[in-house]
Amino acid sequence: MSGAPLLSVREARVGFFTARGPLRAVDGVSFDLEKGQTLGIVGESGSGKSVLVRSLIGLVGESSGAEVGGQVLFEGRDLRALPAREFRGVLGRDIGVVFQDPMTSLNPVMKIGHQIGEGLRLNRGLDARAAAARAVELLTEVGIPEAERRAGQYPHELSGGMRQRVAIAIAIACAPKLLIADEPTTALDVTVQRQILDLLQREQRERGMAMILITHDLGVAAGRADDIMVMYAGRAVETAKTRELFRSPRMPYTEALLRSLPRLTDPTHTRLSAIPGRPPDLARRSGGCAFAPRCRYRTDRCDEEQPMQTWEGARGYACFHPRGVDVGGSGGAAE
Amino acid sequence: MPWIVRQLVRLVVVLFCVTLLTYMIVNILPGDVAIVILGNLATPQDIAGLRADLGLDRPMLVRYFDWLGSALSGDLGRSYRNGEPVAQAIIDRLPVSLQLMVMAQVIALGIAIPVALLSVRKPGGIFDRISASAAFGFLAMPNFMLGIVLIYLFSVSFDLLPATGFTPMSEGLWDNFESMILPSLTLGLIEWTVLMRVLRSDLLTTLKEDFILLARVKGLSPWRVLLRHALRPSSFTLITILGLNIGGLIGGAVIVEQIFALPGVGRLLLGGIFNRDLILVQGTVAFIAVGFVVINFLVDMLYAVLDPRVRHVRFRS
Repeated sequence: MSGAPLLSVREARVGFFTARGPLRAVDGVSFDLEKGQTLGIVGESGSGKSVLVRSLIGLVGESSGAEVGGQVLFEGRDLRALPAREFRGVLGRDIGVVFQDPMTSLNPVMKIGHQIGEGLRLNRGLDARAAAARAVELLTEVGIPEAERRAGQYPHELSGGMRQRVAIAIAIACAPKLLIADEPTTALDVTVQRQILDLLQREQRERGMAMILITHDLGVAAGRADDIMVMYAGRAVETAKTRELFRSPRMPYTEALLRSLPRLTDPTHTRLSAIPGRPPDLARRSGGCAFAPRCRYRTDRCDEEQPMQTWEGARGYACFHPRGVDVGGSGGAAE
Repeated sequence: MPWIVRQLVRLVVVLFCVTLLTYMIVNILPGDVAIVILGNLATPQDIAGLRADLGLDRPMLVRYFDWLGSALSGDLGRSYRNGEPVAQAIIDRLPVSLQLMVMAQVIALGIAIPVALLSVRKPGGIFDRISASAAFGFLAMPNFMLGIVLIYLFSVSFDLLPATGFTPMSEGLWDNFESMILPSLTLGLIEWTVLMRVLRSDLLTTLKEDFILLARVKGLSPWRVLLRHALRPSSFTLITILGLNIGGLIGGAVIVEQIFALPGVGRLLLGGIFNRDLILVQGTVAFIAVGFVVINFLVDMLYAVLDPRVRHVRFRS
């Protein structure tokens, strides 16, 4: 890893005003992403992972009634301080996004080829003919047969997996430096999920893009992310190299998540271990650790005090009783 | 049943109901075309004689089906009052009514679309609130009143436009245009309100879609996102209302043509009613009904142009 990170996020915050009072959807999240690396952001629905990433690229902001704070540096430039036009330029050229549901993320009344070429014409200055030709190349690249014919079709004429491939073609069209994949396989058939993930990974490697892979499924992040950030109730509760995270999770929440993954080595009919309780109501946040009510290692301190992020080199966690570390005698190796 | 056949069946049923109802209502009206023609001093014998000549002494249903038969073969009959062929009378006046309607629609859309687009740039903002109030104000205004206000403003106070009367296109395009501006404004200024509110609300729904987010991520400017990505998928309700409004526009045109003394189909109809000229009323109403159904048929076709998904369903499966 050399030089400044591609993306550097410090103390990102997103607040919404709801009928039940203000709500902190994202609360002080920081991370760095180096060029060509993949960061997996993992968390349950409502943990704030999507909102976090959308706020970074301006999709969640004042226009949607949200209050956004913190600093976002992309190649050293403060994205939030850029004038609107320049910001759109960065967004169009250097950042590509693949959304969760390809049924809704493509414009239903616009031909596929046009949707792919649109960004190229705007951001790369291609003329209509060149953009159309490039769109066909991109369709071929993402594995769509008969690309020429498909380019003239509308989204409803394609299957879900095909549409997600089209969405990927749109995202990579302008050769971005950062690809954001927001639950890119959640809405797809299981059989197609793997193909889409493989495609994303292949494109990322060939193009040397950095990627943020948002998922609720640790298994999806496992083989593909260099680093993983686990989010819970709007906070980053653990950040680590993927291998380390799986080998020895520090945060009890991560541990519980790992335990809830089914294993091939388990005998059949083994009950999956679920995490008791429910994610907290963000509008009624307590003063302590948000995970405390569901945590098997909870102490009184957890209820009263918010644990700060503790760093051991590149890995960080927010817990008073980290697993696998001896801190004040209260932690100790799991079981 | 194929779509086109269903449309035709619908047309026939609508026409049958509309003409039968008109026939019955005009028959219930007090007064008699024979008296209108012969005047108040005519003797009962003269009146009875004329009624027999016109065929008015036969039972109503017999007369109706008699009329229906010839109407289906293209003959709408002749006016009881002056013997003018009804079809010819309609054709003579049709251009005026069509021009009025087209100009009114252009004005309505020309106001509604930009105002809706500006409103959704900042929902709840100043422009949005002002345009909403203006829309409700115009919507609440009866068109005869708006017509008179416009005449007062543009003809009486500023003497910019003719108050009433019609100049045919053959006597100068500009003069023709001038004579049609106020009547078209009267209709258009009321119609834009509904169109604007509908388009605004559909735009707001569309703007929440993921594909709008994707368009923004491509680096498109907010206006480009609105015009290129949001407008077309938001226009389906607008088109529907446009078609249905034709009915209201015809009703409005009857009044507006009267106020501005335009020789259109609406005035022909009104004259027919005043004179108890049943056959003229019948023919005009049937014509308007066909027009209404045909226009909505065309609107249905327009969906397919705007939305490829409709094309898919309708023409492939």
